[in-house]
Amino acid sequence: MKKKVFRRMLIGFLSGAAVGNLIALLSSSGSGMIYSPMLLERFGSPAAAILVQSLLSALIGVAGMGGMSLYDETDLPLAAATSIHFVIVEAVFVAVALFLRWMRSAAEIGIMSAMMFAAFAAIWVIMFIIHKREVRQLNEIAKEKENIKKKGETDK
Amino acid sequence: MSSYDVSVRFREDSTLDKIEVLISAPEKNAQVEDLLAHFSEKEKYLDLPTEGGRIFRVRTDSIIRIYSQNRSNYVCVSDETIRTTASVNELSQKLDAGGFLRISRFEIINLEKAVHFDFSIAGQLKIRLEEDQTVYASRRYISVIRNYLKGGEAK
Repeated sequence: MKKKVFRRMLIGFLSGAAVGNLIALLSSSGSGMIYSPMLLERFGSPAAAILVQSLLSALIGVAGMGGMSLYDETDLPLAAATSIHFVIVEAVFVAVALFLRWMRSAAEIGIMSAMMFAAFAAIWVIMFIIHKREVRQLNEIAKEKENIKKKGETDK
Repeated sequence: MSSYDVSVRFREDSTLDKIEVLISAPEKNAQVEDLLAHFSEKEKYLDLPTEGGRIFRVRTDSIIRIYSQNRSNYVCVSDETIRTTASVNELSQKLDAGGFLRISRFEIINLEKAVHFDFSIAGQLKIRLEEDQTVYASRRYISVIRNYLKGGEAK
């Protein structure tokens, strides 16, 4: 279990760092500057700014991917697992986004949080539908088994 | 339901320290269930120690669920609930086959007594058992129960 969680966190770390820098690049409006001037000012060199940005972006990936283990490695009910995952990812994301100046106003944070909430609600709905279908299949198999059993008793 | 001819063979195996009976068949049908029940003597009854030293003997196939509540352990059978001094762990070890599934540290259910399965809005597997008893299990048990219903083991 621990190995699986660690592997997910590692994947999250790498993909988070990559995606964070990619988003920064895409939002640089063609200037090619993938870090904010604030980071450069604060950490002294472009390399340090990119390193800090990469590490913090990686944290979001770790929270997102590592948190997936809440769904299949714990006995938490689906609603609890989804809620805890959302709170972890949201908290890490907001903290990192504020530090890296991806978001500056309360409105931006609000919009981003609402989008994230919608994404997690969608995850919950999809997983709920999948489990509901699996449980319906359980009832069908149980009914089939019961019918076979009854038929067997009649044949005896 | 098909009924198969039965052939009996003996194989000497000096590595074993007990008699092991393996039943092989194309499917787990009623005939196989009968044979399993026949050879699984120790699973037929479960002795429940109770306070005062009395032993209560119950048929394992009458057990609906075994659970722990407020530091007491209970065995729920078709028509009554017996309070026992044996722990859920101890009873679990005696029920090493059949449809008994441990759904938590505090509870074992008999899948043969399951009447209906549902998925609760909170995201747990809701199992309705005989005698109108309802238990909740983690959704991780959906695949375990499916495997059992298709002829596998519950644990």
